[in-house]
Amino acid sequence: MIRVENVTKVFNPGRPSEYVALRGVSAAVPENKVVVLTGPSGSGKTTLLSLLGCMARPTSGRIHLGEREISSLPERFLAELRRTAFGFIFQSFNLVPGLTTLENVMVPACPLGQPRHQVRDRAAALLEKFRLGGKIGQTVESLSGGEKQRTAIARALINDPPTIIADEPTANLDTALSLEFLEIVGQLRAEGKTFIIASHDAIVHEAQVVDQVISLRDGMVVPAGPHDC
Amino acid sequence: MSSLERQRAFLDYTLASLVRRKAKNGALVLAYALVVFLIASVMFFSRALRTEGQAVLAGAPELVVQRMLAGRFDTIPASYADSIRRIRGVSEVEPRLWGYYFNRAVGATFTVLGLPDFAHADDEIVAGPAAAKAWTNLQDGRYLFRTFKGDSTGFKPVQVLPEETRLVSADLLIMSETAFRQVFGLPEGQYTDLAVTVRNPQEMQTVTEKIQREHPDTRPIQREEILRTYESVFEWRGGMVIVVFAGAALAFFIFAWDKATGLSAEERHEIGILKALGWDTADVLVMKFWEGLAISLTSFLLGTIAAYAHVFLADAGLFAQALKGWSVLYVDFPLSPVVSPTELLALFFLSVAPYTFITVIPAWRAAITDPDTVMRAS
Amino acid sequence: MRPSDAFLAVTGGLGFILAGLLAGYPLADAGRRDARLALESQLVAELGLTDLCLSTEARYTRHLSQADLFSAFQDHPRSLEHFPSGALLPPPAILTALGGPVGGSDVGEDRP
Repeated sequence: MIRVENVTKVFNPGRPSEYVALRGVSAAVPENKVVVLTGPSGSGKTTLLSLLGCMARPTSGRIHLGEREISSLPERFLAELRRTAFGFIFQSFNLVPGLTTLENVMVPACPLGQPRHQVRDRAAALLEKFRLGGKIGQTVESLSGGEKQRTAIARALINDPPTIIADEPTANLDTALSLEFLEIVGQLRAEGKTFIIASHDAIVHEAQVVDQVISLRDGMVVPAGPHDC
Repeated sequence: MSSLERQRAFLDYTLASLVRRKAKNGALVLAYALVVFLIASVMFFSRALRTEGQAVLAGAPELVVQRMLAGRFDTIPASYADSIRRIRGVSEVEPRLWGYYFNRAVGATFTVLGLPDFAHADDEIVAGPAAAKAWTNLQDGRYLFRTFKGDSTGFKPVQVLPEETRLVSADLLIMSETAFRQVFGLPEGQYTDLAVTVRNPQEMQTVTEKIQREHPDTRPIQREEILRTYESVFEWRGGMVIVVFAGAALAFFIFAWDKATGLSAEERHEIGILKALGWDTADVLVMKFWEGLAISLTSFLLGTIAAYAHVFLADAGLFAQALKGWSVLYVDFPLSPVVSPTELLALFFLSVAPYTFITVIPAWRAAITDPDTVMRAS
Repeated sequence: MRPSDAFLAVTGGLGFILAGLLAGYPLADAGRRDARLALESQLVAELGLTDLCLSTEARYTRHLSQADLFSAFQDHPRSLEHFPSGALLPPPAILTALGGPVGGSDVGEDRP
C-alpha cells in the first residue's frame, strides 16, 4: 500500500516562475491493483506519479510506502527504493540509445552488484517472455514502437519490483498495441504486481483491468468513484 | 552483492556506451596516446642520454685548463704545464692537442686528436667509426688532408675504433703529435689545453684556485662542471621539443576538455534516465569515473609503450634531430633503457588524473538534479 | 565475453607489456650495455675525452663543455649564424654546397 497524505509540490518556489503542481493531494494505492491517474495536461498527474515513484520529494505532506515514511529520506535511499520497489515505464520509453535491447534491460540491475550471468539470464528470459528473444543483440533504435514499449516493460521488471509505474504508456502506441499493453498489465497483475499508470487515454481508464481511477484537475483530486472520469 | 561485481557492472555499462561512438572515442584515444607518446619520448630520451653521459664521462679528465686570450680560447704554452705540475696536489698534467677539421668534400667537421705517444707511424691515422665511413676523399687508400699551408698530405688508416664506442668516438681522427702540428701549423711547445689529474678529489677546489692565481689568463673546467652541463643540456632541448608540441598538446586538451565537460543534452538525458531507473548520484559518478579512466589509462599505456619502443628500440628516429642537433655526420647510437620511476609516475598522474577528473565533474552537476526531470522532458 | 573482461584483458596486457619493457628489457640489455660502457670509459680515459659525440658540426654541440661562444662560424664552418637556430637547423643548402660563396677556412677555423 502506498499512501500520499496532503501532498503539495511547488516548482521554483519564491521565483517569478513559481508553479504549484499539487495542492494538498491525498490518495492511496492498494497492493496488487491497477490504479490510473487521469486528468488533462497540467493537472499534476505526472508530478504525483514522480512523487509516488520516489523521483522527487514533496514540498509538504507525507508519502508512506507500507509502514515507512519515505518523503524525508535522503537521496541515496530514494535511489535504492527506485531500483528495488519500483519499475518505471516512461512515455517516450527512455531507452538508452546505442545500447542493445539486452543491455538496456540490464541497466537498472547495474548498481545491485549481482553476478552478471544471473542478470543476463533474467533479462534474456524477460525479453523472451515479451517476444523479443530474437532482438537481444539489436540496438534499441532498430526496434518498432511496440517492441520499444515491451523492452521498457522488461526493463521495469528486471529487479522484480512489486510496483510498476507507467507514465502515459500508450501515448505513442496505436490501438492494437495499446490493447496489447493492457493485456500485459493484466498478466502482471495476475502475477501480483501493483500498477500506477498516469494516462488520459480513454482506452486505459476504460479497460477491464483497471481497478481504480484517480482523477486530478488543477493539482487537486476530483472526487469520483471507480471507473468514472 | 559483491562490490567488485558492482564496479564491473558499471564498467560494463560505460564500455558499452563508449563503443556506441567507436570512431569518436577511438580518435580521442589515439590523439591522447599521441600526446602521451610525445611527452614520454622526450622524457625517456633525455633521461637515458643524461644517464649515459654521466656514466661515460665519469672517466673524463678531472680538470681541463684552457688559456684565454682577449676573452677567447687560445693555445697554451708547455711552460704552463710545467708550472702547474709543481702545484701541490697535482699528480699529472697532460697537454692535449685537439681541434676541428672541416672536410670540404664531405661537408662535415671532424674532431682531430694529436697524441704524443701515438702507437702508429706519423703518416698513419686511427679513425672513429662514423669518420671512417664518411671520409671519402681517399687517394691510394689514404686520408687526404689539406694542411694549413694549402698543400695535401695523406694518412694511411690503420685502425677504426670499435663501433660500440661511437657515442664518444664517432667523428674522431687520431694522429701523432708531429702529424697534428704538420697539418694545423701549431708551433712546437703550444698545446690546445691541459688535462690535469689531482691526487685527492677534495683538493680539487684548492688546486683550481691556485692555477687561476698563478695563471690568471687560464680557465679551469672541472669534471663536475662538465657532468653538470650534461645533466642540464638536454633539458633545454627537451623543453624546446615540448614547446613545439605544446601547441598540439594544447589543441588536444581543449578538445578533451570540451569533450569531457560539455555534457550534451543527450548525455544529460541519459544520466536522468539512469537516475530514474534507480542509479544513485554516486553510481553515475562511478560510471563516469570508469569512463574517464578507461580512456586515459588506455591512452597512457599505448603512448608510453610506443614511446619506449620508439626511444629504446627504434633509436628515437622521429625527433632525434631536434634533441641531438642536426649533423652532417650521421651519429646514431643505441641508448640503454633508463626510466626514472618518479618521472613515469608523474606522467601517469598527469595523463590519467586530469582527464578522469574533468569527465566526472560535469556528470556530477547533471547527476545531482532530481530524476523527475526525465519524466518532464518526455 | 563481457565488455569489462575485454577491457581488463587489453589494459592488463598493455600493462604487462609496459612492465616487461620497463623491468625486463634493461636486464636483457645489461650485458651489451656494460660491455659498451666499459669500452667507452676506457677510450674516454685513454684519450682524455670530455664530451659526447652527439652532433658534430657546431662546436658548442660537439664539445659542449669546451665551447667558445664568441667566435664566428660556431654552427658550421660555412655558416654565420646565431646560437639557438644553428643548434636545431642546418645552414642553408647554398652555403653547404661545394664551393659555396661563403666559406670558412678548411683548417683550424677557430684561429682569429
